[in-house]
Amino acid sequence: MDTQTMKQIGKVLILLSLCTSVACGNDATSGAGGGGVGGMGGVGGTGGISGNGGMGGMGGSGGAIPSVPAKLSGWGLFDDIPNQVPAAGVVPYEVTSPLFSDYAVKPRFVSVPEGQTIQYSDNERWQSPVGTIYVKTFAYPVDERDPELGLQLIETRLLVHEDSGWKVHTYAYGDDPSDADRLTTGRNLSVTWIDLNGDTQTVESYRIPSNGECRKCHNPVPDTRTLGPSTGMLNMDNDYGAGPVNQIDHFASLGWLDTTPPPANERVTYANPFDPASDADVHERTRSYFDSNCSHCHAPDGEAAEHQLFLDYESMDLATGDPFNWGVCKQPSAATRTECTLTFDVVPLDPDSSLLLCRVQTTDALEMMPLVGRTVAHTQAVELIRDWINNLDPGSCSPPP
Amino acid sequence: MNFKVLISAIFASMIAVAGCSDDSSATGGTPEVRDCSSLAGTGMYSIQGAPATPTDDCTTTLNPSGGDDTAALATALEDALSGHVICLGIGTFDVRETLFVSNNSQLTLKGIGESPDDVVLDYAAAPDGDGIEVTTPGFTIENLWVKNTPKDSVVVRADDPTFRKVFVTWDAGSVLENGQYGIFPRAANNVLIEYSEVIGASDAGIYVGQCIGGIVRNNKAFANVAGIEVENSQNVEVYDNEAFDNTGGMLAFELPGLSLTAENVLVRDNDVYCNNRPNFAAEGSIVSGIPTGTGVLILSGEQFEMRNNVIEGNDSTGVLIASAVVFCQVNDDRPDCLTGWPDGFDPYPTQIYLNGNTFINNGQDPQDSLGLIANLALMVDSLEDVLWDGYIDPEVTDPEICLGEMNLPSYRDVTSNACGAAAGIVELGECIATNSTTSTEGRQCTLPELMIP
Repeated sequence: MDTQTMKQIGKVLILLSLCTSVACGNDATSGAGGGGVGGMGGVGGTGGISGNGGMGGMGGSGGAIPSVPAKLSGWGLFDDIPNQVPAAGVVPYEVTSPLFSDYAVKPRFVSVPEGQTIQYSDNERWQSPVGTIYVKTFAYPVDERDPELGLQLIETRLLVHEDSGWKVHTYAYGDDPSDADRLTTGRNLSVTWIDLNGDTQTVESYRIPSNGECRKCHNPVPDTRTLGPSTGMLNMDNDYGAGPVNQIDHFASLGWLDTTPPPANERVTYANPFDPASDADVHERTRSYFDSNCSHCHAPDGEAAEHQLFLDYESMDLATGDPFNWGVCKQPSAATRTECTLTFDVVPLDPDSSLLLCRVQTTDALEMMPLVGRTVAHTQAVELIRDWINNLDPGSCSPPP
Repeated sequence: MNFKVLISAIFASMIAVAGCSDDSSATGGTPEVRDCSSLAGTGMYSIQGAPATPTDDCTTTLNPSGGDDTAALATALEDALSGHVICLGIGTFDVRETLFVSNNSQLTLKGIGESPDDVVLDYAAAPDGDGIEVTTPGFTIENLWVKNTPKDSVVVRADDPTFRKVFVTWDAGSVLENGQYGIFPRAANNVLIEYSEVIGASDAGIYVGQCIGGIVRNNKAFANVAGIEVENSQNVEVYDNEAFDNTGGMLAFELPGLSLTAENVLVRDNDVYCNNRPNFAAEGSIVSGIPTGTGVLILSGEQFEMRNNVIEGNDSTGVLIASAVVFCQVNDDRPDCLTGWPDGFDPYPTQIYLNGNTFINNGQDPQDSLGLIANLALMVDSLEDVLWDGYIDPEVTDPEICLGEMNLPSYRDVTSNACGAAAGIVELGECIATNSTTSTEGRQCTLPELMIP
């Protein structure tokens, strides 16, 4: 579903103007604690967002603090925020294997400062120059069967490359999607939409992350980093108004890359894990899924490197990687466990004895993986990983689980 | 749950009374014997002699709003520049989410009251999460009371942090539902923790983990599962602290699967007494295996010295020197406790030096696994001041476990290195019954005193 909805975004965005303030009135109930976020775009009251985030007033502050725009519009990134139409020089892009975010659809944009270039790399994450801004909006369809009904905008997150490193900012939409307010704490929302089968889907407690939570994945200063932009993730087509064109070639044509990349068919492409049309095998699909969903911590240079579970694309190379580092017959080192009390991260051919799968499956806040970014299970990913474990080279772990 | 805890607490205090009043002449010691039955704190910060906190260097000052203060605190921490000092005015701040210090380095967060009692960050309304999480270097937290965090109270994972006059408590007392760790630097080199007081953590009150370089001094930790814990850390000095009324007073651990080994840790001039609180840690956690009544637990690691401490009134034993092997045999019920360790992990403690400590009235009523060993295996009512599991790395001729040259504490080698193959506590108990010894042969030695750089 994630993939299909992603593909609809282009059309949806253009048609979003149907959603006027009249049609998209606040038909959601505000939660307790004030600061409720009203829903937009409900058909017969089906779509809606209710909030329980509270923003307290505070007395007495002083000191010279640089100002971060209080409104998303203050950044000048969009010509039309409700329809997510970017300003000139702000370029949309997609990734082959998105991070799972409770089934949200995520329009992405990037702006590179005039005269600056991104350090292109075939295999490493790209290094973007100071002044670069990455923009990602989190939204849900109103009704997946009817893209003309538009998207419910939840939040727009920015990664801004300043002299002192990458800074994170989050803007949350309220009743009026024409602008969004800066949010430094997190906020929980209930989101509902109609899926392709006409069923009502609900994420009970969608989490807008606090700035600090953002940096759990986009690692701390001075190393806060972009996670999506790499050749393998970006080597796919997009439509910039004149038919499908490869995104990396498009970036190159804008003068954004510091080198001429090799032709598209010679570049690495991370598989779309859930594209039925892809001929990638289960390992390649899983490898790609792990890279975008796990490797921001579980990599040799990641936050959780001490646990020696390396799920980045490079470490999961079948030819050169060590399955132990993918968790195969590896005893977990993290201590607190109540639900996933299993002996090994991954037991070949035995998904139900594999802690890794349990962690991906569970929604227990103490045990779930990733630690932030989801509140519901990604059922397609659970099936994919189950399939991957069932297709590993057979081998028994010692001592037996 | 609370009822159960209450009952066991009452039961334990009865035992403690009995244990402490029973037979204080067991050690033949002349010093005055503490009464372990009256240890209740006042509920207020109680460390004497803490330095005053300067209040004239505030970049920003926030005051409690009377409502939800989370957003204002988060924005202040987010927008501060490196080196800024964020001051908090007197009163109680209502905090409902984790506060992050991860945008700028060298930040100071401090209360501007007379003592930590005056400025409170109260997380009672937070549904989940840690109190404060820090990932930028040079952070200082000072003169603050952090209360009721659902999980860990102040977590720092960045170098050069300072905790000074930090008071951590939970209103519920000592219960499983409390946060696990109070003061919690990990992978945070050159940590300083001083004049801080932690009460009620369901794992360790004050913890230093995976740190190179650390000073822990003039603190108090009581009514936690573990009072003060140093784990997989190097070059750490722990001195002039008080640890009492915990399940285990002080822990020095090396655990497998972590990047840093434990070495060169000096624990000196501390007062470790009456650590007889029934274990209230989460089932399955490592500290849930600490026997109630343990003064100090040394688990694996090397180059560890205890110098000039007072170890008193701990019902199970004063100092327990254990390998990961015996901890596994007792707690994990695994068949491979002798061999099933990851490469590079040494389960055996070596170069452990107990140097001139005062032992008073320990081991008078052994509890939990040590109770079973005493009562069922050894058929005795009391245990010694110092216990060593007796396991020796097959590749090492002398583990260098030294009790000093004179005035040795009472001592027991629990297994004489004969029980490594025992699976589970029953088999282990049978083996202990035939192999345990109180002979100090080989243990009457000294080691070079540690120097902490």
